[in-house]
Amino acid sequence: MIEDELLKLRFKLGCEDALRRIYEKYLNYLLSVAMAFLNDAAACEDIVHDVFVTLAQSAGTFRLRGNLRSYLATCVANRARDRLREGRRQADRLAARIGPERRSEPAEDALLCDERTKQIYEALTQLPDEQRETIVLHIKADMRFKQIAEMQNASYVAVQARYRRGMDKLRSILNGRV
Amino acid sequence: MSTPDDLKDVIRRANCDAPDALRRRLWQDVAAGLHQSQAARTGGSFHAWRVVMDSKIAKLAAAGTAVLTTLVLWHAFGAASKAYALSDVPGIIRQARTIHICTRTNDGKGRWEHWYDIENAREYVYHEGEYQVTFDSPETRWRAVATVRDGPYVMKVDHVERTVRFERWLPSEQELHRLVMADFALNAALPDVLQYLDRYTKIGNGKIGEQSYDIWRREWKEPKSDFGIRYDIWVSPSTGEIGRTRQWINYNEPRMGWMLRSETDKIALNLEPPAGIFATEPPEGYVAENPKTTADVTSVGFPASRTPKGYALRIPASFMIEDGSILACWNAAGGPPPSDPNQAYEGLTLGGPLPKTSVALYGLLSSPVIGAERRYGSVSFGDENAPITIIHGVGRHLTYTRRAGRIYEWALYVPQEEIPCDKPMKQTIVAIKHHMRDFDYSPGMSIDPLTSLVVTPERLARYVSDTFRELSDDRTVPAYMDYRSLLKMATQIRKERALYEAFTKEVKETEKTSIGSLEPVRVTAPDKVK
Repeated sequence: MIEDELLKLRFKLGCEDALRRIYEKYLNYLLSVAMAFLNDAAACEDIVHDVFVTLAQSAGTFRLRGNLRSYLATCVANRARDRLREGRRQADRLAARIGPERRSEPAEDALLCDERTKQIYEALTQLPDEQRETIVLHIKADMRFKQIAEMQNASYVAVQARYRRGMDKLRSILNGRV
Repeated sequence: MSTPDDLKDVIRRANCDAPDALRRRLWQDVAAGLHQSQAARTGGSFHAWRVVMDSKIAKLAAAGTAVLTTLVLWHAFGAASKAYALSDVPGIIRQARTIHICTRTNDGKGRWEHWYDIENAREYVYHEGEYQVTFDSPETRWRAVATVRDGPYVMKVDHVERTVRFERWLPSEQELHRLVMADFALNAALPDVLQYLDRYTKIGNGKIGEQSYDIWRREWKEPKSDFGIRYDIWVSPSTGEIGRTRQWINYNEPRMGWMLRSETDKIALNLEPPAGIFATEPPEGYVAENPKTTADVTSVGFPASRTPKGYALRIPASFMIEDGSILACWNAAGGPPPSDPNQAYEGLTLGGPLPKTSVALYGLLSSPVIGAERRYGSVSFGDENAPITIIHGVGRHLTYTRRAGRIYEWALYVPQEEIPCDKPMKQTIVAIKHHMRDFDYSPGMSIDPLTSLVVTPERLARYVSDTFRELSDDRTVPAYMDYRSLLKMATQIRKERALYEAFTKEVKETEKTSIGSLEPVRVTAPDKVK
């Protein structure tokens, strides 16, 4: 926390080292948040890439009173939600656009996930969007139900119910597998 | 994956790694974004210059100058020169997502470990050390206990006996827990900073490893004794981190001097708590002494007040309304059972005196300084240098409910003057009356702090209904227990001066002995520090 406060300050003053440190510190975490939403390595890299580039471009004008980690997770979550809402057709178009490019990338460039993690991401994709979103925002992005309710324009009770139902379903999907 | 927590942990730990090649590739774009942003800002500020210096060499030189200037300014005026003071620390701790605190006594016989997950209102507290077997016994025994709090459940683990015992919280107390978590953590980390921040003085500096720290100190004398107490807090001026805290004691014996009592050597923020640490299921091989789902209802705002003979006052719910009056639900537990448990409740009337149970929540000793910036002080309720103003509040009976063989008293406590409700929760002091002459012990009256939720009419209706559902067999909330009726009743009670005069007379001795006046602060002058 204290380190983050210093990083925010130094980044605001344009310090590249500070940005580098933020990047190194949170890259894996943000990729994991995005993967929990989308389970699509290429799309997740795009999202996290965009979040960091936007952050970098805001140097000098950057203002953040809250927690840096939560802020970045929320940025990723917002973009991931947008992706989810673009729907299958849009996703297919995106896959078609970036597919050949990704396939040509060297294997060493691929995101690394262990089997257990892959199973979790796979199971999350089987949940309805709203339930998955609630679970990921709460557990991975550390958002409170109240914040999620505001984000989803839903009631606190509805968000809690989505979370509970989603967790129940996830438990039954994963039963005995992880 | 048997519990929700297990699954939550599995999801939390489902992380992927970006290989170096991916890191490098993404970083190139990120760094380019930063340079573009810097160039745009430099260009905006020095447009005429850009026109003149429109060559690659000039651009490089300009960029170099900009970087150099930034570096010089950074070192001269930037955040590197910001010196963190102790007053910055509460804010830093309050913003933390998780807090981990480790404390030990100097003799090595006691150890505490705290984990606070502020955002999810979960808490783990471990303590091992020697305890007196009973209040008045010289005999001690080793104990290792942990308390886990998550949602409605509190699990108390005895690692020596290998047992667990459960308690539950009502929804209103869970809400209160969410509100006070950060202050609980702050109090565990820095026991009296919330209350006495302005009494600390920077008295020197020291090093832990290579890191330099400013040492902030407060000293005072325990009321009615010659014991001196000293707290030292080591704050890094460059990061605001706490390096350590130390508690010293001075028994006023010249040969002994100041003796180190305990030391907190770890206050770490935003660490990931160990997996399953907040689980409220008995560890393997441990026996649950009571069922979890029907465990006793206790509270956050009032940890059970126990007397030496085992009597306890519980206040499962308390709500403050806009004039500072408190609607409280309490029950007397523990100790030898009375011959007729119903006797104390016979003949009670609405607005009349409270039942004479073995222990009773009798009245309020509210102080305007409590509940503002002086909450949860571990030392005493008062500020040594401030005049103590006490506002008395009398308690009047409303109704009682029964559940699972227990009787719960519902009473309204009305302060003589209105107390502003400007916070989501307020702390007050309650006077507890002991009617235990039948049982060979009669301390008369004692006091304890109580934290209550400040409620709106809607929230009061909801929480009272929740509480009745848990603590009343018939679950019917009387009509006179709505917000407006309670306010009206409080106005009427406040006019009955005789009630307050009688209460003032009754609590006079308790106030004198339990609150008293503290000694003025003694602070070591910086030039006296060795």
